[in-house]
Amino acid sequence: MTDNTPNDQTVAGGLEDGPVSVEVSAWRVALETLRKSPLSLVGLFIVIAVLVMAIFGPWIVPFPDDVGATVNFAERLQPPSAKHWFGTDIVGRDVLSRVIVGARISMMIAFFVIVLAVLIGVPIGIIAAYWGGWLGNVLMRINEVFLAIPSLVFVLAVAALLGPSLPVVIAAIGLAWWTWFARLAYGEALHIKEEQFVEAAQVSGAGGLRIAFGEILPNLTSVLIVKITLDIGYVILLGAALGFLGLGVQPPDPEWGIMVAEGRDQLPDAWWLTTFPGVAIFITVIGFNLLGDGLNDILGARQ
Amino acid sequence: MNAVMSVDNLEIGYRDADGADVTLLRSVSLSLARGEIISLVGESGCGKSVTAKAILGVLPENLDVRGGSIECEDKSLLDLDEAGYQAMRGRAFTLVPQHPLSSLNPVFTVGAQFFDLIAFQGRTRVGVIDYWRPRLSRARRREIRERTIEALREVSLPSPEELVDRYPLQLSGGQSQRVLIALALLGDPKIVIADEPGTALDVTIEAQINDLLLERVQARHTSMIYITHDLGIASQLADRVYVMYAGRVVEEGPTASVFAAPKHPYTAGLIKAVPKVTDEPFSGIRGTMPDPKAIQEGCAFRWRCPYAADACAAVVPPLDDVGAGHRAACIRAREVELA
Repeated sequence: MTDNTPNDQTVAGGLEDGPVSVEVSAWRVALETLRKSPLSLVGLFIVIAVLVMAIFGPWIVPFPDDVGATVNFAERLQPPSAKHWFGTDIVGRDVLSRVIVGARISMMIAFFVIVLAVLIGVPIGIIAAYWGGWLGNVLMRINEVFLAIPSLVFVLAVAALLGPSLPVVIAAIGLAWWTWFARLAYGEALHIKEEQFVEAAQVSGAGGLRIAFGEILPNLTSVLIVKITLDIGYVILLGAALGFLGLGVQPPDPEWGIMVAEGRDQLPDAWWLTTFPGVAIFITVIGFNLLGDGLNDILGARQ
Repeated sequence: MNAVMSVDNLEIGYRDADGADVTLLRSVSLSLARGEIISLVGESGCGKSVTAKAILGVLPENLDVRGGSIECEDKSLLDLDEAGYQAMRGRAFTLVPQHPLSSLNPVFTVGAQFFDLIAFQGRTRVGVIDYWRPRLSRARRREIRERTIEALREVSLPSPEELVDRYPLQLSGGQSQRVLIALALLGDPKIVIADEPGTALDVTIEAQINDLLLERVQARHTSMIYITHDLGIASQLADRVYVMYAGRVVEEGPTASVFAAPKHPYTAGLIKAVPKVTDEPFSGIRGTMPDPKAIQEGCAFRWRCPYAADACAAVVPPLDDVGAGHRAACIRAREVELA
């Protein structure tokens, strides 16, 4: 990627019009863009921190035992101190440890929901856009039916029906979320399928599936990356809302939404019980949003 | 005549937003012999590209074929289903497109654009396992890469070993067009359709591309349909020319004969409109092409024709013989001496 010598223009067999682009590593362009927008750098750091917490949580927390159903009444409802930075809850568990490990469940929900939504939504959107006609109409009308139901109501209904648990929460949010990916893929594919290279592929004998998933889908990568990053934040928010309502993950698993709900009874005296998990949700969502915006600038600028 | 392709009385039209019927091609007939190069010439909107798309089977959805036939390799193309067409594209006929810079997929390297063509061209219904097999085999990958480099070398691209790993964005227009020619020739097609391949390039590059096309096509005894609005290029490349106007072939014949003694006033006007480096002031053809909806009866050129007579409005002039293999659609072709 570093070879940009003028040799490019001198050609065996005749002259050639010169090189159009000076080759610059894509990563350097990306870093440069990030450097110019400190907010997306902040987002990147937050996301990395949350990921580290999610992956290594149980091994880095000060009180690993407090993550589960431990009880330590001697230390209950202590305000933030040097020993317990975020204070302790009504049964004496360390809030800091629980907030850190809570990142794991939030990220798990977000990861699986997005995987599910992308796997369902993107193929449906591309198929609807490329084949169009009655098939496209049917697919997009189904999509709109799902879109018309408010996602929280839908998820509440599914969670209430099947009983609250982690897989149910993931399936419920995923089934509500694919519609957004279908719409995004539909719109983008509709535009890309008019590109010259699609016709070029067609006249060289490529079939419909090959064009839809071999030519059009790879061109969706950048918009999908941005959308996924932004959506992780929103899915975390929805997951926490479900936890708060008691329809998500169940205690004693540490989950930010549940922690806020449990601490509600102790307000305003034990403010640390609700504040720290709440701030964790807030910062995580903001982080993914900032990073998503940054990625949008980086990936958009290169097109 | 042993034609590799013949188009017979092709009629194409569409229904516009108001429900009115618009005809774009009217009884267009072409024939192409093995190793022959024909050129379709005419101004924008005369139906050159629609003819090419009809042959390739990639007409926009709103256009429909109203009549006529296209024969190629003993098959009637208009009766083929999509799978049958797919098997012929790239092998029986192929396209060198008009816009080289946007005809390569921007997210793949040059090598990746060749990969599936080398591995699967001519096959329909490749299963998922078959699709991944050549990708997972190191030997097959190397073999395909070698073929790609060889194909790039054949179109005189410099250092093809480096070029295979470049992205289309890093290529110039001329380089992209060479890559596209290599892609088009990969399946060893019988017929190459070149749709104004040089229009998007500057003149010197256009000349190189045309030389290359001519050289590659002649080396393989491939037939070519070269579409252009540039009479100069048509006269250099083609064995025979078809002059199109408002959806009709108005004159056809051997290149030398058509250019030396045009029999249709439109062809004569086009030839005179080519700027020359002399003192002689060049003359254009007055007016513009009529709206396809407005053409009903009579000669479509009569509004712009300096020789138009009352009779021209009455009937559509048929393509009549005016010389050896030379035909023109003008009822006054024999009475008027074209200057």
